[in-house]
Amino acid sequence: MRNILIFAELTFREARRRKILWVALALGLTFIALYALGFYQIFVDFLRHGQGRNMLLDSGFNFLVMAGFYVISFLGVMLAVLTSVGTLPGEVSSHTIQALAARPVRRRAILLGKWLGLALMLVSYIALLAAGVIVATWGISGYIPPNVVAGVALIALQALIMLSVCMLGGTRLSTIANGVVAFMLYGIAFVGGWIETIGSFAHNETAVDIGILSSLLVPSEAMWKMASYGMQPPAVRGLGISPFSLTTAPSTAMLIYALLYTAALLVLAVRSFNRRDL
Amino acid sequence: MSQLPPAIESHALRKEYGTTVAVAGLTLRVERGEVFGFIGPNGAGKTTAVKMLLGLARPTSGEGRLLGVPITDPRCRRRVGFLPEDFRFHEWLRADEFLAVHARLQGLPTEEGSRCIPELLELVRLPDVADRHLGTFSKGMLQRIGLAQALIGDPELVFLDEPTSGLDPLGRRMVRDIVRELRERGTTLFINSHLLSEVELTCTRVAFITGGRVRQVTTLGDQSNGLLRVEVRVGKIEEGLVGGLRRWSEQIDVDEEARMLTMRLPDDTALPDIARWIVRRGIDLYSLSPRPMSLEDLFVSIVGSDEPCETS
Repeated sequence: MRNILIFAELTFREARRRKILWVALALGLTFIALYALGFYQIFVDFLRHGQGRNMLLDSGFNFLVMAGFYVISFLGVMLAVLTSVGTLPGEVSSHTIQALAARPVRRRAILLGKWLGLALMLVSYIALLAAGVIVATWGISGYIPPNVVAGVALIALQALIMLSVCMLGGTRLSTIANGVVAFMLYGIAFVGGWIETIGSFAHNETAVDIGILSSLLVPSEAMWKMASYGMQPPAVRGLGISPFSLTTAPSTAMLIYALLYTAALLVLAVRSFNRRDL
Repeated sequence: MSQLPPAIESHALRKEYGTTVAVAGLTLRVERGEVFGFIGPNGAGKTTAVKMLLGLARPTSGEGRLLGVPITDPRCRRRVGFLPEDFRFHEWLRADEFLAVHARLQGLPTEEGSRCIPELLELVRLPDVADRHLGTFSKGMLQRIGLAQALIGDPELVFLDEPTSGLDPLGRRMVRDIVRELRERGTTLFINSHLLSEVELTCTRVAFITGGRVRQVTTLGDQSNGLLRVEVRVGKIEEGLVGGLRRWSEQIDVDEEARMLTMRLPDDTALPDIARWIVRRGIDLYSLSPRPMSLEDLFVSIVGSDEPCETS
């Protein structure tokens, strides 16, 4: 465990020194500021035409919050892939790994330490952006979407799934090949998710099955759908008035599957990295 | 000392990459306190052999132990240091941070780690760079910091893979001085190199490796005990002479025209016997001149003159 923490800290320090952390934070804060400004303008506009808070107004606010969270979910996935895709292959190809791996440490400490460092960074980043969006929305309008903590946790899990995909790929693939695989898988999950949503509106079971199959392949999009379903008021969900409207959400079984999936990816990554010649 | 397990022990270590055999079967024993040179041409399998011993590459078959612990167990590297070839480090780390990370991974307590860092920087003649990022280091400075890294925690066994590549003559002398100092302290060193003159100056024993196989292991001592190349000039090379001399040396080159035989001997003890035997056979003996073999002579005789090697 001690060695895992050393590698986690080293990974975190690398992100800081290479200015990844600062750039991401600066852009994240810009995003929150723009979101708050936009939300405020729309809020003022709504009030001018409406008569105080009502359900319709809340569903409008909810749509804006969901748009904000959708961006956070997307940024989380991007950051997960971009920070992790080269962390192992880069060190293997540059030989920096040799002096580290020749220490009395197990390979799994290197891999899990890097995973932990990146995971903590991603979760903190997502939590920070989400807190910014929630605080801005609440401060301006007094509106808070339901199940917001669970929603943010699911968005973070979505990023961790992609992080684990990249860690496994990185034990064997080059940085670029790993990135291509990660984005292809994310793309499959993304398109599959939309096919499932549209299929369920149109009552097309084949389309729904395709969506489920893609979620089993990569359950990242399913986590977003669970998050967005939970964070919308029941009255809004089935209306189909926003792109985030869902009539059904992935079940708890899918959440358990996603957790097991992530754990399995890490187990496979450790096994694969153990066999890798450095 | 004698009860301690050897520093390095390997039995038939083999590494295949697909159909290519990088190391064909490494059987080796390096005792404590030795400075062991591992020499061979580029692509002979030296680095792969070191990688297997250090757990960086999985052997296809065979086994090995470092300081008595199997190489499959990371704990075998608790008292081991390593300077890799193609030495690269995280350039975003400062020199002192870099050494501190390695001290922690080596399992040193924090206080001991921070105490040894200035000493190590002093040892590799880099005293004023503790707060500089590795990205600003020259190749020679990186090699020195790499050497400092390999010596963290006062290891009992140190692997140096091409330690003088990238160093200027002063840097090379520094490496030799450090090697000498470590040798006096009783540290075992395993030096991978194709710079024969460096190996000759620093090592006590060498193994020659070509084509993934150890061809010969030789002790490098002082001149009277070293390997000899003996030139024997006779009146006539008659039948039975070469065959008879084979009892002392397997390797005999014959130059009929110059009436000269060149043989390789482990030392000079057999010289009087050889002279007596030749004279008793009634052959005129004009000269019998031994001279110590240089490592280069030995290298060429074992590896073959067509293999590339640097002698600078």
